[in-house]
Amino acid sequence: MGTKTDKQGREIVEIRYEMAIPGTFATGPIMGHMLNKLKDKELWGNRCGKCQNVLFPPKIVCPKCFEEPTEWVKLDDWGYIATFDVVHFPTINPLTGIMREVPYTTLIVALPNGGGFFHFCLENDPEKLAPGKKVIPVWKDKREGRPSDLEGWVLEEGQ
Amino acid sequence: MTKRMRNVAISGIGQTRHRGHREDVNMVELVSEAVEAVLEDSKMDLKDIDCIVHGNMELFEGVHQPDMWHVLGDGAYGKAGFRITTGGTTGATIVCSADHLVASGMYDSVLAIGWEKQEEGMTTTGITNMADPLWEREIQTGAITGTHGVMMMNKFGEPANQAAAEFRVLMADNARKNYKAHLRIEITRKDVLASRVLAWPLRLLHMCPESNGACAILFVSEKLAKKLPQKPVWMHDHVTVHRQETFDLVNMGDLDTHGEAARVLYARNGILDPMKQVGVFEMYDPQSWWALDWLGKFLMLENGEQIEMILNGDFAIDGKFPVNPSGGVVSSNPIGATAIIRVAEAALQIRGNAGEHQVPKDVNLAMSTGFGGTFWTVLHLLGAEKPDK
Amino acid sequence: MYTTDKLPLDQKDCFGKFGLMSIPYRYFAGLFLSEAMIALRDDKKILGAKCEKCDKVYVPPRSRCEKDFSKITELVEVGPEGTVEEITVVNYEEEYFKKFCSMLDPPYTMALIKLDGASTKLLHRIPGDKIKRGDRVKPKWAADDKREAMITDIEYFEKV
Ligand SMILES: [Zn+2]
Ligand SMILES: [Zn+2]
Repeated sequence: MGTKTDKQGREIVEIRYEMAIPGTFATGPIMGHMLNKLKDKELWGNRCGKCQNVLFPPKIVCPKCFEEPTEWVKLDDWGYIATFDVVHFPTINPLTGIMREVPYTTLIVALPNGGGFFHFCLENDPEKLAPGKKVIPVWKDKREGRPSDLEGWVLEEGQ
Repeated sequence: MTKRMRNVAISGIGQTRHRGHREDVNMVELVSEAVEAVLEDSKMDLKDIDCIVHGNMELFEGVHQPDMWHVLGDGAYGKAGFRITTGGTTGATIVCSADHLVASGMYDSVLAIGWEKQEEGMTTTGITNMADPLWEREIQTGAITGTHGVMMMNKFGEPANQAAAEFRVLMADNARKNYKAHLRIEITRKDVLASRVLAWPLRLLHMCPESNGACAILFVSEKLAKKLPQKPVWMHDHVTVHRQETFDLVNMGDLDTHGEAARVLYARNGILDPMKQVGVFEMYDPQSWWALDWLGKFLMLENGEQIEMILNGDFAIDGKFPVNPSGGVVSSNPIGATAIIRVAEAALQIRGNAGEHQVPKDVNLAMSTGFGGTFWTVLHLLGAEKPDK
Repeated sequence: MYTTDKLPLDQKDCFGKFGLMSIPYRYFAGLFLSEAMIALRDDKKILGAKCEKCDKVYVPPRSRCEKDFSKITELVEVGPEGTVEEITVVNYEEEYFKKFCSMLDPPYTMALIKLDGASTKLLHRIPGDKIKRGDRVKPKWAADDKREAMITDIEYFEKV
């Protein structure tokens, strides 16, 4: 709360506040199933009966066919880097209100069964990363059914 | 040809000068500057305007329903109207809506207003809230992402790096000719490549600024357009393409919304060679890496030909196919206004009075785009001639 | 629960995840409105914006007349006394608001007050639940070192 002086030396009212609205997001049975399985270090998607594509995260309908998926699919827990970036610009995680520490690397993992996983990569040197390289997940010891149950992804040895 | 009950013309354009700091005005006052400018440009009396459609980004200024008190700045007292908020495409969707409202015969004059006062919030954190809270919100960092840069470099190597930087230099060159633009900087390719890393390989100078600004466009029926002094710019067509809600498939050969929108637009309007038939293109380019990729998608260049074209200067104001003579989004980005500014700038080029950044030729057709969310596209086509001619 | 006849689903997979939507903001009043807010702090004066065209006096001040869209540049003093026009009594406490400003203990009255000389009504609060429409009220100013160019520089209104 208060005022500030602008470049012309004029006093201007400026109100600062942090809006922090609490919310509880319902998972529904499909997203919830996948999140619960993260506790067991397992990745689960579902398959569209029409186009046979594996959807990950699992969905209530196939976005392409608008058909209900017909089966659960346990995914292999490795993938290829589709793309990545190394973030040096800190931003607030709105879910916690806490500023993120930089640098960190995000990546999109192309899962071999189909679908993709947008997450963190634990390697921050862009020279060592490239699309097509094989990565594997690193799980946290304490898991509670959320994406952060994974610490992130690392290059498979020899990559 | 699309079905259209009647023709719709742009008969007035108003913009603020987009700036990083506008502490001297509040949100309402900022909006009113653009409205005043469009009334001046169109010579239309506010009381003769039937309907007002306006919009901005959710979560950027922390006002839950700005439409409640924006009546003051919009001039919407007692008039029909509503707010539209579709993320980065907001400004483009407002234009679609105004076009529909006049084309349908419901109203003869509709004022479309897009605005944003980005200094009042935290843009990246605001945008991050679009990600699924159960899945990607912890990881996503707004629009600051280098993933497209990695893809382009992986595919085309160092020339892609040079072209992204060169396109940014071109945008700066153009912005210096546009006194409404926010960043009017003098930079070289070397400056771009030496600027601070935001999200490798995305650098500070690749990225758009956070701007404060508003833009208003008056859409009218053909009958009314004939009575107003400005040369009418005719709405030809618009296409919106959405895709699914998570980010994971963006770079994995999933629906290419830009390419799909372009395919539909070209097919419907008999455009076989966009670079020959379209005179100018105002593309929503929030960062130069995206610009590099998207030029290829909109122009149907399958082998990265745009890289060579950028390095050749083909997209310059006096080049073969001018792109963003205004300086583009990397020069000014008041987000809720950004996509409507693209339409306004495309229309100015057709009118032929864009000012110092006017392309040196008659523009018969112009295209503009909006972009937002998990890759949503709105593509507009405007013309100097009526669409049914 | 969402159901489908195609995919096996389990009630135990339906749960809620807590999260905030936390974003910092700052709001600029602009030069014109700032002058009126600073007058609250420095002079304990309530200013309204007077439209030259239609004579309407807006409190809180606006730099545009909502009716004729003319630009307003004149600030005039209104009040400090006024008449209560509409009321509602608040009987609960909202923790969230306490982050932003001091609150009155419930029950208190939220009132639309037409200050003398104003054309519009100002929303403010009055202690207690005994206020009636038509009551005359005056501002209770915050202490000199507590005023910060905010509407809460008037702590509340009270009966004359
Ligand atoms: Zn399918
Ligand atoms: Zn008036």
